[in-house]
Amino acid sequence: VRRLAALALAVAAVLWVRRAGATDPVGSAGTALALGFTLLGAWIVGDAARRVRLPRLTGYLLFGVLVGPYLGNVITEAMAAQLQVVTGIATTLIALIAGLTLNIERLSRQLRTIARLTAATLTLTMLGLGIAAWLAWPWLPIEPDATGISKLAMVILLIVITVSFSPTMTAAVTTETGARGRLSELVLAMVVLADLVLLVLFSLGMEFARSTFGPGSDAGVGVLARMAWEIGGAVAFGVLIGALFALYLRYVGREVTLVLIGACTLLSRVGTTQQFEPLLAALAAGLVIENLSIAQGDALKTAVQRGASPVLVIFFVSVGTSLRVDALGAVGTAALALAVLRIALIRIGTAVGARAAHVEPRRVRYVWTGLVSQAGITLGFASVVALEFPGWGTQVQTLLAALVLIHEVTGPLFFRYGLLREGELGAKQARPLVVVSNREPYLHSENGRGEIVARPATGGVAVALDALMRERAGVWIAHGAGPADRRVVDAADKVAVPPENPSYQLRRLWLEEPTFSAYYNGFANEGLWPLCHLVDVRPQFRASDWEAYKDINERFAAAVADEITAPDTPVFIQDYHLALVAPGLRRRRPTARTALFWHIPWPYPDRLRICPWHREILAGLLANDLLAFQLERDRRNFLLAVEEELGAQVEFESSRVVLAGRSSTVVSVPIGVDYDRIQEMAADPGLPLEQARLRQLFGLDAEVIGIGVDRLDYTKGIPERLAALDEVLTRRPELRGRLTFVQIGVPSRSEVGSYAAIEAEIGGRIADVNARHRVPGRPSPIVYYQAPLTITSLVALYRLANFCIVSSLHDGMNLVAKEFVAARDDNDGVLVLSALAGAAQELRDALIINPYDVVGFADALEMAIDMPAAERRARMHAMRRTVAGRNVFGWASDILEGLESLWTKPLHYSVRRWEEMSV
Amino acid sequence: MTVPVVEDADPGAYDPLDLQLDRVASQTTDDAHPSAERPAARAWSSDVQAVVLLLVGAALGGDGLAILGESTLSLLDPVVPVALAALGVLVAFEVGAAPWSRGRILAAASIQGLIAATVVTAGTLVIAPLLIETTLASAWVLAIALGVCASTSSALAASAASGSSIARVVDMDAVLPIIVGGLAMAALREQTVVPALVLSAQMAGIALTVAAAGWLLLARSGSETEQRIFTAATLLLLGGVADYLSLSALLAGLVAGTFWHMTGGAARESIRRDLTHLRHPLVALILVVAGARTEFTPELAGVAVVYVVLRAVGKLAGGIAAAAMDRASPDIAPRLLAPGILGVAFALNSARALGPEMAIVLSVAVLGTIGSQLLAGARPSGDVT
Repeated sequence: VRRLAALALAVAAVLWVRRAGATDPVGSAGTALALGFTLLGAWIVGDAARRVRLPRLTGYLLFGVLVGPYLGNVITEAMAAQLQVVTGIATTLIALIAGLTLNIERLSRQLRTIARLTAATLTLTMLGLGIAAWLAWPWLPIEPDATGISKLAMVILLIVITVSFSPTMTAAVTTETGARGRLSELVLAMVVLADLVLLVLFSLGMEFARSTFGPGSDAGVGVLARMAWEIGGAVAFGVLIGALFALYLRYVGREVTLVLIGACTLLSRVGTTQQFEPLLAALAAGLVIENLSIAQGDALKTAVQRGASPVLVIFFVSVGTSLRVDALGAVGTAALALAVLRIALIRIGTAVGARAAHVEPRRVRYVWTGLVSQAGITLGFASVVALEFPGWGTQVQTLLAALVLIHEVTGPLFFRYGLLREGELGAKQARPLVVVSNREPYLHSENGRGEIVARPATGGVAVALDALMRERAGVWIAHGAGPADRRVVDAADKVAVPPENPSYQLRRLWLEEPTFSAYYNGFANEGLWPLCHLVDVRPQFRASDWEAYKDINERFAAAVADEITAPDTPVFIQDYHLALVAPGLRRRRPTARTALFWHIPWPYPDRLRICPWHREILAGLLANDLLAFQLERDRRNFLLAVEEELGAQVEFESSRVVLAGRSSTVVSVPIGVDYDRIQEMAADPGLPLEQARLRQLFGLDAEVIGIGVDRLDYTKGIPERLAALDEVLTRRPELRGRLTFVQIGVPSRSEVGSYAAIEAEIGGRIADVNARHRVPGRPSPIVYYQAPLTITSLVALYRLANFCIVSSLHDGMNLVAKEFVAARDDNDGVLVLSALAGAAQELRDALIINPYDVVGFADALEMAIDMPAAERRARMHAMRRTVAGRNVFGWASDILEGLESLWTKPLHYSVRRWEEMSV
Repeated sequence: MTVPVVEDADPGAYDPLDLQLDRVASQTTDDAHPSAERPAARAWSSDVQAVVLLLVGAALGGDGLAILGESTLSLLDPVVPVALAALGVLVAFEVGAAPWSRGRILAAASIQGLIAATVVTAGTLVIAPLLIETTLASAWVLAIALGVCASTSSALAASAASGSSIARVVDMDAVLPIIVGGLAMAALREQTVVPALVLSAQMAGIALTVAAAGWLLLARSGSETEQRIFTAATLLLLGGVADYLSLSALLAGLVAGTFWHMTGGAARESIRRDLTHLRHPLVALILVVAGARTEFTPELAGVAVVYVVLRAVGKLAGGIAAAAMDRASPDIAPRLLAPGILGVAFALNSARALGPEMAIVLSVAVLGTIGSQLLAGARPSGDVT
C-alpha cells in the first residue's frame, strides 16, 4: 500500500509539474524528471512483478509501455526522446558489463562449438524465413506486387533484419538476474558473433538493394572499408578504453563508479560521432578489463554493483516507452506469424548446430531462449532501410517495429525460463542465507529506564554480515549472550532484527554452564587458539572440553538443519569455534551448501598433530563445500595436513580436496575493513573536536605520538613492543618528553591463566619504562589505557599518530593495521608492522619488523620517527590503494558468491579469481 | 592513567577492534557517531580543492582546451539540477541539526548574509554598468544575483577555526540566499510578483509531494540496493521538477530536505548515507561544469575584482554586525571571507534555469569565488586553519 501510495504521489507530481511548467520544455529540461519517475515507478512495478513470479524486467518493460507516449503519455514523446539519450550510455554500460563476464581462456575452449552453433542457427533461420517470406509475400504488408530481383532484394533485407538478435538485451537479462554459467555465457558469445555476421550481411544486402532500386552508392571497396571501420574501429577503440580503465583502476582507483560511467559516455559518444558500433567497443573494453588487467579487488565490482541497477531499470523502461503498440495493431498478424516462425527456426537451428558441433543436444537445449530478444540493432537496421527507401522501407520498418514489440516482451521471459531450467538463475539471486557464529549481531539489554534495547555489534565483520543479511534475509544463528536476550525471543527462540527495520531472524541458542565455558574458554581458547598461533603458550587439550565442543557444535548443527528451507540455501559458518558444525549438519541435511571462514592462522602439520583430535577437526572442516582462510600460507598448510593426516586426494592447482568421494574447495580470501565508513569518519568536520578531547584525555603534548591498539593477548607482541620502545628511548635520550606512545589495551579472557599473566607483565613493563624515561613536567613516555574506544575515537586517534605499531607474534590478519591505513586519508603516518601478521602480506609498504628482534624493531621505530614527509606519503598512498581495494563487504560476497558458483560455473573460474586475489 | 572496569571478555573475538567496538556498542550506540547529526554540506571538499576544480573546468571548457565543449556539457546538463537539489537537501539537514532554539544565531547568520548581499548588490549596480554594456534591467538582475551569490560563506573555514557558534552562524547563512534566490528566479521567469509567488508555491508543493513519496518508500525499504534506487529516483525527481519549471533546484532540495529532516527515521538516514557517497562526485560535477561554462573577458574579470572587494567589505561588515548580535562569535568577521561553493551553485542554477542571460552571473561568480578564496587564504595566518 505504501508503495502504491508513493507511486500515486510520483504520478501526481509529474502531472502537476507538467501542468505548471512549459508545454514544451527546452532541450533536456525533462530528462531528470523522466529519469526519476522512470526509476521510481519501474522499480515498484518490477517489485510487484516479482511478487507474482514474473521477472522484474518484465515489470520494467510493462511500466515503460504503460506510461510511455503510445499509451499513458505520462512520459511524453519529448521526455522519451531524452531517455533515449541516456539509454545510449546505459547500453554501453550493459555491453561493458557483458564484456566483463567473458573470459577468453574459457571461451577459447568453446570457440568451435560457438561458431558451429551460430552458423547453423543463422543459416537455418535465414533459409527458412527466406523461403517462407518469398512464398507468403502477397500476404506481407510490404509491396505485395514486387517480383523478381526487386522482391529478392527486399526479402534479403527483411530476413537479415528479422533474424538479428539483441546482445544488449541478452546482457541486460543476465546482469539483471545475476545469472552465471554455461548457458548465459554461450548465448552472449553467440549473439555477439551472429550480429557481427549480420552486420556484414546487412551491408551487402543494402548494396544489393541500392544497385537494384537506385543508382547505387559506394560499392565494393567502399562497403568493405566502412565495415572494417565499423568493426575494427570499434574493437580498437574499445581495447584502448579498456586498457586505460584498467590502468586507472590499478594506479588511481578512486571514484570508480563515476569514471566507469564516464568511460561508457565516451564509448557511446565517440562511437556515435565516429560511425562505429559503440556496443562492440564497450564489449571489447569489458573483455580487456576482465582478461588483461590484474584483479583490482572490489573497486570495479562495487562500482558495477552501484551503477548497474539504476542503469538497467532505465534501459528496460526506455525500451518499453519506445515500443510501438500502434504498429502491432496495424501489422500484428503478419508480425505474429513471422515471430512464431522465427522462434521455431531458431530452436531447430540450435538443435542442428549442436549435432554439427558434436555437442550433446541436452547441453544446448535452452540456447534458443536467449536468441529471441530483439531491440536496438533490429530497429537501427530498419531505420536505415526506411531512410534510404522511403516507400517499401517504411513498410519494413513498421513490420519490424511490431516484431520487436513481440520479441522484446517475450524474449526476456523465454531467456529467464531457460536460465531457470539450466539452474543458472539462482547464481546471484538473493536466496535467504543462514549465518552461523558464536557471537550474535544484536544483544538485548535493559537501559536505565528499564526498557529493553537492542545493541548492534559494530565490528567490521559483524557489520558486513548484517548488511548482507538485510539484503538477502534469512536466519542468523548465534549464542544468546545479552542479559535481556531471552525476554524478546518467540517460542522458537527467534527475534526479528534489526529492530528499526526487521529484515531477518536472529535465532538464539542458550548455552549453559559449565558446558559453555568448557567449549569456549576451554577447547576453543585454551586449545585451538594457542595451537593455531605460533607463540610460546602451550595448548591445553582436555577430553571434557572436547566433549563440550562437540556437543555445542552439534547443537548449532541441529539449529541450522531446522532453519534450512531449501536444499540450496547457503550456510555461512564463522571461525574456529564451529569447526564441527558442517559434519553435524551434513548428517541431517546431506545436500546442504556450507562455507566456513577460518579467521585465525592454520598451523603447519607437525604442530597440528599436538591436538589429539586433529583428524576429527580436519575431517569436520572438509564437510564444508567451501573452506576459506585468510592467507595462501594457511591454505597450503591445511592442504598438506589433509593429505598427510587423512590421505585425502588434494588437487593443489584447483584447490580441490576429495575425501571419501566428497569434494571440498579450499581457498584464501583475505578479510578487509569497512573502508568507506572509515573514510566518512575521517572526513567528518567534527573529528578535530574529538582529537582535542583525546589530546586532553591522554595528555598528548608530545611532538611525536605513537599508538598501539590491541586486545591484551599474548599473541600481540606487546612486551616486545615495549622493549623496542625502551631501546629507542635509551639510544636517543633527546626523545624523552618529546615522544608519547599510547597503548590501548583491552583486557580479554582474563579468567584464562595465560591471559592474566600477560596483563600483569604488560602493566609491569609499562611502569618500568615510564619510571626510567620520564622527564619531570612532561607526559609519560607510555600512556596505557585499558578501556575500549568508539570507532570514531579510534579514527581520531589514528589520525593524531605519527606512527602505529602492530607487533603480533602471529596473527591471522590484524585489522588494526588496515584501520590505521584507512583512516589516514591525509597520506601521513607510518605503519610499523610485524612480518608475522597476515596484514604484512598485503601492506608491503609498511615498515616490516620481526618482533623477536628488539634491535631491528627499535631501528624501524627510529626510521618511523625520522622518516621524511615525502616517503611517508608515498608509502601510505601505496598502502591505501591496497586497503581500499579489499573491503569487508567484498570479502563476504566473495565467499558467498564463490560458494554459490560451485554449482553454477566452472570450478576453475571461481578458483582462478580467488587465487589472483590471494596473497 | 586510571584503569576503568571493563566487562568480561568478548566471546569469540579474533580482532581487537571488533572486540572494542562490540563493547562500545553495548554501552551506547549514539557514541559511535557523535557528529553524525551535523554533516557539513559545504565542507564536502576543501576550499582549495574547490578552486582547483573550478580551474580544471575552466581549462577543459570552451575558452580553454574545449574538451568540455557544448555537446559534452549538454549531456551533463540534466545532472546539474540533480546535484543542486542534493546540495539543497544537505543544507536542510545541516540547518535542521542546528539548535533552532537559539534564534539569535539564525538572526546573526541572516543579518551578516543580508549585509553582504546588500553591499554587493548596491556596489555592482553602481560599478558594473561602467565596466560592461548593460541595460538598467539587466544591471539589476546581475546585481541581485551576485548579491545572493556573495552572501554565503564556507562552513569549512569557519568550523575548522572554531567548531562552535561561528560555524553555526555560517551553517545557517545559506538558508536565506537559497530562499531569496529561488524567489528571484521565479520572479525573473514570470516577470511579475504574484504569478512568481504562485509558481514558487507550486514548486514547493510538488517538492513536498516528491519528498512524501520518497519518505513512504524509504521508511520501510529493506535492502540497500533498493534504498539507493529510491534515493536516486527521488533526487532525480526533485532536480527534474525544478529543471522542468526553470526554477531553483537548491530551493526544491531545501524544501524536501526539511521535510525529511522533520520526519526523521530510516528515510532520513538512508538519504544521508547515500548523499555521503554521492557528495564528492556531485560537487566535483557542479564545480567543473561551472568552470567550463565560465567566459573569460577583461570586462568580466573587472566585474569579478569589484565583486571580490565588495564581498569582502560586505562580509566584514556583516561579521561585525553578527558578532554584536551573537556574543559567542566575537571574531567571526574575518572567518566569513572564504566563499565556499554555494555561491557558484546558485549561479549555475540560475544559468541553467534562466538561460544565456545569466551567463555573466556565472562567470563573475566563478571568478569571484576564486578571487575571494585567494583573499581568504592571504589573510594573516592563524585565522583559518
